[in-house]
Amino acid sequence: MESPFRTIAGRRLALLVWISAAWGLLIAARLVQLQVVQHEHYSQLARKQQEQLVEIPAPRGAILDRNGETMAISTAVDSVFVNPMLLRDPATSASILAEALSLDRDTLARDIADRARRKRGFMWIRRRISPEESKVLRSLRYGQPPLDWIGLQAESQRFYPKGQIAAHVLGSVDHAETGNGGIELGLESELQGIPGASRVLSDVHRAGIESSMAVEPRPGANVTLTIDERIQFIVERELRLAMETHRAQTGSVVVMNPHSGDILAMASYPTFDPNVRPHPGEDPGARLNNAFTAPFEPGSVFKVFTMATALDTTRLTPESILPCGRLVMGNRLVGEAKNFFGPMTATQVLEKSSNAGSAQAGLMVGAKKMDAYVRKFGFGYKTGIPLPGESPGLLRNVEQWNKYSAGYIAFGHEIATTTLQLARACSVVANGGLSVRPRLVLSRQRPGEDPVAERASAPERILKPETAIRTRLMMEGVVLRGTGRAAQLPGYSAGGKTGSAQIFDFKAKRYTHEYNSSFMGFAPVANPQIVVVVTLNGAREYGGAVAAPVFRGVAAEALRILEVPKDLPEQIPVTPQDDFEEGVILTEASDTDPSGLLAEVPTDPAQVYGPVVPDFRGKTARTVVEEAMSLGVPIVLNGKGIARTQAPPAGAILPLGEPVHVLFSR
Amino acid sequence: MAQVARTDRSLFGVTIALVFFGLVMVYSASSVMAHVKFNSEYYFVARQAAWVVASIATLLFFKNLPYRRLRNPVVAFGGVGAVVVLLALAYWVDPRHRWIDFKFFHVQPAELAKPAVIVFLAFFMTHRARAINNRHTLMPAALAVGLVTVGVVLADLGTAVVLGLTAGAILYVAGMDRRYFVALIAGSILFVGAAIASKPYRLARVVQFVDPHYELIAKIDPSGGIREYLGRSVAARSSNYQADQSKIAIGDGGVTGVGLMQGRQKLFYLPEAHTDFIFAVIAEELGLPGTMGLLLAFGVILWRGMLAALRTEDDFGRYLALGLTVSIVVQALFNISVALALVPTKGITLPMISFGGSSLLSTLAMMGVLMNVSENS
Repeated sequence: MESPFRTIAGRRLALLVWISAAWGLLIAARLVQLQVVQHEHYSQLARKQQEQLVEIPAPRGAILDRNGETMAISTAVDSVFVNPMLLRDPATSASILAEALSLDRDTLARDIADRARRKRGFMWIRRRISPEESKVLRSLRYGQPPLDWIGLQAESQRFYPKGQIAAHVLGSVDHAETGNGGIELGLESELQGIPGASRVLSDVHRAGIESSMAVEPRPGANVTLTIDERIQFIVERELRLAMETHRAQTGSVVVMNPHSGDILAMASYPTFDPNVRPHPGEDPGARLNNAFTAPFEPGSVFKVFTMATALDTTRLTPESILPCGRLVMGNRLVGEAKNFFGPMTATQVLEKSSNAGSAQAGLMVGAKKMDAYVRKFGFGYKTGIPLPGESPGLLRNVEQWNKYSAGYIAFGHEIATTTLQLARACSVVANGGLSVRPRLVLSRQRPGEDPVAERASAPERILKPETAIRTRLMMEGVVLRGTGRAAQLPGYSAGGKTGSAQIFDFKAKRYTHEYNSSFMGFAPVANPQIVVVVTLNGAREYGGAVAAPVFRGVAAEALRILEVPKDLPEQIPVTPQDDFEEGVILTEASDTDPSGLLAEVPTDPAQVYGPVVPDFRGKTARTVVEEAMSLGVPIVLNGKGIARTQAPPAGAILPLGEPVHVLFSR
Repeated sequence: MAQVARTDRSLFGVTIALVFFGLVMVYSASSVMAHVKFNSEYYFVARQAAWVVASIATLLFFKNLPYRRLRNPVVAFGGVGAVVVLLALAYWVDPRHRWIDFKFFHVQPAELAKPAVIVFLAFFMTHRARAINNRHTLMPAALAVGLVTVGVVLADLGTAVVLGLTAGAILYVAGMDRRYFVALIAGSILFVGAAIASKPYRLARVVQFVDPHYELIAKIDPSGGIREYLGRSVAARSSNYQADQSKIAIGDGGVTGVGLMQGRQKLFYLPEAHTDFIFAVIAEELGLPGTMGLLLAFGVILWRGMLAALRTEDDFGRYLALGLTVSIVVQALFNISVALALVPTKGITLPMISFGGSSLLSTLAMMGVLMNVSENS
């Protein structure tokens, strides 16, 4: 056979084979390019379009009260979305959705068309729809014919089953279920779960073909609060009643167990419904927790701590006589609210709420010890509860105090405190002299783990036990015979202290005619089970009239709820209220030092009444101290032996706050 | 040379291997889609399997039918005539699909056009071998081929291009003068160009192949008239998309492939995964061995077919073997080139692999004839 390539046909066939082979080689080269050289690039493109990393939300932890009542819980709800690009008939889709969700059809249709024009492949129609709407849309989505363009995404929604109860403690969450107030914000990191992720292999319609769990979602911890929802309810009811009766502007109540520091209830007014998101037109102050965000001059309630400090650090006894009436400290006149008082026992000073008497006690204690005790009671510091926005109050460093600061702080001026701080300090008196740290969280439980109880801080002794008991009895006197008679409880003994501080207008730099009316008390006296502090701002009446009845309403119910045995006969005649009241004295002033929180009034020293300096000469140190104590005269002792000289001399009128210097020698 | 018919084992083996490999790949590429659309993952593969049986029977029939029996004016003219009638019928009955619906299957006359034209040209060229460059030979040939091609173009430009190249190859090897050949090529280019421009989607595919984002078009035609024309076709929007998805599938397959049945691009990313873009599925799932193996298989067909054309002593057999080989191999090369985005997207199946009964039947019939030529060469 001759070579076929001799013929034209043979050569042309060979050429065709070469062309085909070349084409084949080109293809092979291209395959190497795509499959070997650019493999990584195309793999990434493939992963990008085929796999979606879908976040699987972790359920947010629930918030429970101390008895296990649910205060906040997350429930699954649907959110509706569409892909505007894939809607075959946007107008019809819009009217179906508008019908089901009660939306405006034309607006929705316009929005969808707008997104489609901007090539948006995703659009929320409405988030967190109601279960009824969900049902309607699901029946459409999976009906005949299925409207599979309706996208439904399961989302989690926070629900507060008790409505407004404990709203300020609980706080609220934003659209992403992140806490934006209260314990929801304070314990965000624990309540919030760790979202899981699922790698979903999807087809071109973004329908999942198969999914593999990349990271398991970790639900948030359940948090059990120290709050007792029943007491909280009573507190809010009583607070609202008082607020509405007295037309006060803001108010707060804290109920605390003085032994454990557990906050059994904490209420603030005005209040809000955490189920409703913040919206325009709502009271901007309603979400503030007045129990610890807004410090105020405590006024007379602070006298309790002055007396306790004096009992603990000086020779003052409840029976010691203190000079009362109008006194001058520096260039300022300290008077009583309504009545002129003569010298009274320390107990009476508290019962009648004498400013001058308390100031005397404060000056006796002295700046250094006053500062130390006030700080030990917790003033000037945050209590450390896990709620955002806590104020430490206002307390200047002792170096910045003037000569009379201890005297002013003694009746609750030159200091600003929060309701919560007062509850903490009052607990020291109520529990026998031990410090307590307010506790809001009882335990936390991570899913699948045992609950972890919050550790209570180690109690530290602040007052001698006898001091605490004496102070308690003095406070009982206030309720039995003094300004706090409106706080008498049926069936229970109680102790307390009223307070009415003029509200200082920082803008106008003057005290207003509105009062910060407060009541701080505990019950029963022998072994107090609760401490209740009530503060109402902007009331035009005194604390005894405004705040004490709130204490009465709250304490009586709370003790019953806590099943505390009664220690008094059920029916006790309530002594009618006297016409006098405590209160502060500071007449309207113009030149005030805002940091000092105090108005100053230049006064004529001639009108000032001060104690007459006794003759200490020839007496022993012990006798001198006892005599000075009983008269309420501050003394400074120098040397040992018998009193030889004194300044000022006997018979002189002692300027208020000035001690008598006594020199002893053998 | 002994005229004892002995099987061309490599050609037969490769063909059968490709057919069964195709069946597997059709299942892999279509099962998810079939499940979603027809609620049965076997919807396509079951039909294809039936066609495989019929097609192999046809293959064996033609393999054992002496090819010289086809050298018959009745077969040659009748075939072309029947195809023209069928094409017209299909276009008239079902202008959208251009197929004839026989209840259980559809016949695509365009697929039948290839063997008909090849047999006709082989017959005609053999008879007019001495006067090939005579207009009395060329005109009727061109007329017949042209008539069929027009009919096919209306249905399927890709097949028409394959048909044109096959006819060109036969005329070229039959000794057509270079100047006629150049004229033929020029005419074909004009014809194909006109065919492309006549349909927005075809033009869009070609334009997007060179100018994916219409940047060039915007410069040439600031008024936007061309873009408007291109935009008339819904399919045009997706033509680049198809090529991109195909490249992703092939590139993702890499050297080793993601594994049989493990491909993901067939999950509706890749259009026509079981027909026009089945090569991309093979590349994704089986990697470089799959693609190179496939290329090699068609290389074997090219080699054996061309060898048969070269060795056979009678012109009819030569042109027949040449035309059959070229049409199958060129179609395969075209299909693969489309999948690799080397040429613009056009609807063309991968012979013996893609889903499609008419195509498989016609291809295996052609392979049967080719084997018979090869065995007798």
